[in-house]
Order: sequence, then C-alpha cells, then structure tokens
Amino acid sequence: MKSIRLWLILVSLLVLSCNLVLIERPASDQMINHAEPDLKLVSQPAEAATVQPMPTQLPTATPVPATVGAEAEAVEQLLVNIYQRVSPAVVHVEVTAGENFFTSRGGAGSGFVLDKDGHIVTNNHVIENAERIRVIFADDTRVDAEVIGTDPALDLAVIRASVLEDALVPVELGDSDTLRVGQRAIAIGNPFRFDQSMTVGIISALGRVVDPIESDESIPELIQTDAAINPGNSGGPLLDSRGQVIGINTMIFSETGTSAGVGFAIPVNMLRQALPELLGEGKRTGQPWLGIVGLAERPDSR
Amino acid sequence: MIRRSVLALLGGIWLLLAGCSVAQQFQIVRQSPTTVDVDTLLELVDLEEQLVTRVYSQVAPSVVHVTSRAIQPNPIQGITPREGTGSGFVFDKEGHIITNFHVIRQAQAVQVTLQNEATVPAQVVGTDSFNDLAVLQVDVSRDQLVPVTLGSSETLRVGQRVVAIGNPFGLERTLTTGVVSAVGRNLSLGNGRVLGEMIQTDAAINPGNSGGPLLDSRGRVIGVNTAIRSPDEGFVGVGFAVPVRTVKRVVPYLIVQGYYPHPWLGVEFYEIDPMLSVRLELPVSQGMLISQLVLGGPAARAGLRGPKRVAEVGGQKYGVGGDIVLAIDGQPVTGADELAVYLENEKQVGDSVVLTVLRNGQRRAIQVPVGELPR
Repeated sequence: MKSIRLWLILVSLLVLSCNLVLIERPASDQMINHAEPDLKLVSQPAEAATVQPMPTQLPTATPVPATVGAEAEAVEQLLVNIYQRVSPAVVHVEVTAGENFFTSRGGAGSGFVLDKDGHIVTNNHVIENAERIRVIFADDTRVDAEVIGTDPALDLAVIRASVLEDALVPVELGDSDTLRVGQRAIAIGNPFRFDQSMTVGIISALGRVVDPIESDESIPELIQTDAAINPGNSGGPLLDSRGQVIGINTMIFSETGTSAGVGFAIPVNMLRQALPELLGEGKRTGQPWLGIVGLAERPDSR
Repeated sequence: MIRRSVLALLGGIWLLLAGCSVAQQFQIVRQSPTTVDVDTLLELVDLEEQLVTRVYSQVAPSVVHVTSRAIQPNPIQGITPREGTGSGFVFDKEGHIITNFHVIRQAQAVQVTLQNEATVPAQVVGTDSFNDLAVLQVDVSRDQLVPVTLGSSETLRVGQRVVAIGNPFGLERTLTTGVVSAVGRNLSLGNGRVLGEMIQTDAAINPGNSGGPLLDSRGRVIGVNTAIRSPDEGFVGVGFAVPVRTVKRVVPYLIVQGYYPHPWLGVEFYEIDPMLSVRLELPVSQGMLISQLVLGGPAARAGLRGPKRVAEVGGQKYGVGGDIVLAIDGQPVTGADELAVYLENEKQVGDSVVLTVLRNGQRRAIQVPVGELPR
C-alpha cells in the first residue's frame, strides 16, 4: 500500500481502450504489467511452481447426498430470481457531449428506474456536460432523457425519460443503514457496454471515506464491494440478496482503470435524502468532481 | 430434519421476496430481524460449500494442462520458439481432449499433463478457428482418463452459479467461482470472425485458463473458457466462454474429419445505418447492402445481385446497386455479426435459407442453399 500509487476512477465509460484478450498464457511474458514487488509470486508463476512441485490433491469423488444439489440450487435460484425481477429496471445511459463532430465525445454509464413517472437515477459524472442523453432500456427501447436534478457533491443525478408507464419497472429501494460486511452484494450494469451484466460479490467494508484530490468535498460513508465494477457500471444499482437497491455503483480503486476487486457505491439512504431536491429544485450546491481523484488514507477510514 | 429446516428457510426467503412491494418507494422499511437458527444457517452455507467442493472433486481429474511449442519466424531475431500454456478437458475414454484453438495455434508440438501428473505428447485431431475449438488426442490407458459430463447451455439463466477449473498463470487445476453475468454475447474478433452466443461470467478467468471447462453447480460442462475483456492481461470481472452447444455441434466433426464444415453464403455486406442510408440514398435505414458476391458461390448461384457501380461518398468508395437483404428466414437482419452467428449456429451445410431482399423497390424472397465455407 505504501508505495503503490493507485487511483480512484469514476466508472463511467469514456474511452473504449480495452481489448478482448484471448486467455492463452504465453509462458515467457510477464503476466501482470503493473506488478509491484509484493506481487512477485503471482507474476512469476513458473518459479513458484518449480519451488513447490506438489502434486495437486485430487480426492476421488466423495459421495454427497443427492439432496445437496437440489437444495443448493434453490439458493442459486435466489440470484436468478433477482436478475429476472431487477434487470428490467436497469438502463444503459449513452451520452454525447461536445460542440460538433470533431470535438464530440461519447460516454456510457448505467442507471435505474426510480418510479412510474420515468425518473431514472444515475451518477452525476455520467451525464455531466452532456449535450444529449439517451437511455436504452432492457427491451432495447431507446429514448432521449432530460436532466431533472443533479447533486455534484454526492455524484448523483436524476434524469427523466418519457416512456409509457407500463414499460417502466421501478426498483425497490432498500436500507443502507442496516448493512453488514460480508453480506451479498449484486451489481447489474453495462461494463464495457456489455449491457445488463450481473456480477456478484460481498460487501467488503462500510463507511469508506474517499477524498477527491481536487475538491474539498468528500463522499462519506461509501459501501465497498468486491463485486466486479468496471467502466460503464457507473450509476447502476448495487443490490442486496432481496433484490433491493442498497447503493449506486460509482467508483473503483484501481491501477488499470478496471476492476481490481475494490469498488465503491453511494449508500442508497444518501440518495433517499437527496431525492426531494433532485426531483424538485434541481441542482444542489456543491463543487463538481473531476474525472480522476486520489484516495487519501485516513486513520479513521481503515 | 435438517433438510426440512433448510427448505423452510428458503421458503421464508421467498416470502420476503414476494412481500417486497413497490409501495415502499422512498421510505425505509426496516424488516423486523428474522429469527433464523444459526445452525440452520450454517447448514445452508455448508451445503453451498459442499456443492462447490463436490464439483471440484468430480471434475478436476478431467482437467488437463496443455503446453504448446511453436517455432515462429521473427523479423528481428530470426526464428524463435514460442511456448504457450492453456487448459483442456478430457472428452472421452478414447483420449480426446478439448481445448481452445488459440492454445495450440501453429504448434509444432503439443503436450498434455494429466491428473496423475503424467505429461504425454498429444496429437492435434481437429481444429476450428472460427469457434476457437480444437480436439487433441493422447495415447494413454483408459483408466487414466476421466471424461467430463456435458451439460446444456440453452437453459442457462443469468445469476446461476458457475465454476471454472483451469491453469491460470500455470497454477494447475485452480478453482474459481462466480455467476453467469449474461448469455448470448456476440464477440467480434475482426476479419469477419465472431464468437457467437458466448456466456459472460464474473468467475475469475486469467491467462492459462483458456480451453478449460466452465461448469454448472452439478459439475456439468456448460462452456469452454476462452476470452476476457481486459486492458492488460489480467481478469477484471468480465470473462467469456464458448457455449457447450457449440462444442456438441463442432467436436464430433473435429474427431471424425478434423474440421467443421461451416455454413457459407458467399456474400459480403455493408451494414446499413441511418447515416449510410442517407449518404448512399438507400430506400431503407436498416438492413444489409450486398457489397460483394463470390463468383459461383451459393448466393450468386441462387440469383442474388451484387453491386452494379461504384459510388464515392466522403472519400470512400462503395459498391452500390446490389440487393439489400432485409431478413433471413423471416427474421430481420441488423448486422453482419448477427447474420454470421445465425448461419453458424442454426444452419448446416446442405440446409437452405430464405433471404428477403429489396431490389428495385420490390421485396422478394430468394431461397439460397447453404454452401460450405472454402477451407
């Protein structure tokens, strides 16, 4: 931790710079480009393997009662059920900004349907400076959206898309004050524009305080999760195992700009507090965020 | 007894799910703490663990380590050997092993390390670069071979648990778990190549996992781990597996004749979008404009028409005046990838497709016998 310089990256998708990597392993190549000394063992697996030539333990198939399968599959059904219920509420937010063809840039993020009036919650940094906001629903309906309210300090925004009421599937908001570390956390969003992707992990920590370098404001009390959060996930919901929204996926802590197992979500209760203003008066005062912020380590945040 | 309490708990969870109504929109509704017997909970967690460990003990003996050595011409250093490692799994008692094509591409020698740590030479029986699959064969006694059980990729649901076993970074038979993140992803690899209907997962897949099995919670193979989306070479939560449906379709051909006969129409297209439609003054804003017809190919023989003249728009040359394909077998076509995947996954050489085309403002249906992609 001491010497490694990591960055918190807001996870809206600005540039599509990643490639599809076929995962054969060329033996000679170094595996992890940014490997620091403490990560040596992982980046030199060949050596590690020769040092410990231990035969892999391969127990012969142990008989397990046939019922185990059936019951554990019922648990698995929980996740399947959550996806079926909640994924229709998750939208893909496409943004274009810039004056003309040459200066325009695109961005993408996620969002979720708040109510039957077509209000959609996303991150402020997803729609900031947008000329045009387009929302793509799970059924591939594409409509333009207008900004209703923003809160740059909390990095929250509410936009609205005019869609028939029947086509809207609002989420259920949960309670982020009763969360516990270890609890299951489920993200649905559009990492790298792969829409409606579900990733699952747990809550890694609560109450993380993140200090943006360029701002005096900090978003307090973030939820930390190991569910894979990547560029494009910004603004998407983090759910508990009841399928209720417990947070809004916003940032990751990473060297590469992609998931390293440390993602951050804004607790849903903060959204709840901000909602009257987001839906009513519009912009709350607060300093805007920049695209990249650094993490200041605080004794009280560990 | 234990089973009953577990089921009761599950029932409780279902009720909670059913009970969450939309009405509670902006208010916090604190559920009264559910009183669950700790032993019951532990039992439930234990069941999940048992499930995964059972899958591992069942399937790990089927997973092999594939090492390939290739001599590659290198413009600077002359000829250099290149070594790659990947994973694979035992398909049958005849010693057939399934892996990715890219693991053994250009290999002069392939070696397989089996569950009993025996490293044996393997022969490449068949390859399919299009679907990134290859079949190897090793000559060992039948009792050293533990074939996998194939499952089904058509019934997969997002959220379902998956297990990957492979050799990430050379670490043999590593178990990683996750869920199905999405199904039916079409991944364009360029040059008209597209990996169709791929399974997306958040189970950690890394360099060396290629060719290893993706399993369901009963230990059945549902896919072959093949690609990741990543800025460098490590996993970031987005991995892809070739669905087992493709394996079932392709592998028997690879074993019998060494290759898979890919359906082919002998036609290339421009994808029409609203912008191209305006630029080329086309009558439709969606569909596929024929850019090239292979002489004597299936589409040409069936009477489809290619471009008549060249139009230059914005410095780019387009062959225009050919048929515009609107639908295949009644389904609207939107992109070249979708068309390629449909043809590859749903058709076989010798079948036929009906193309709905727009020619001189008139729609017509043309039946095209599906040919075989020249090898």
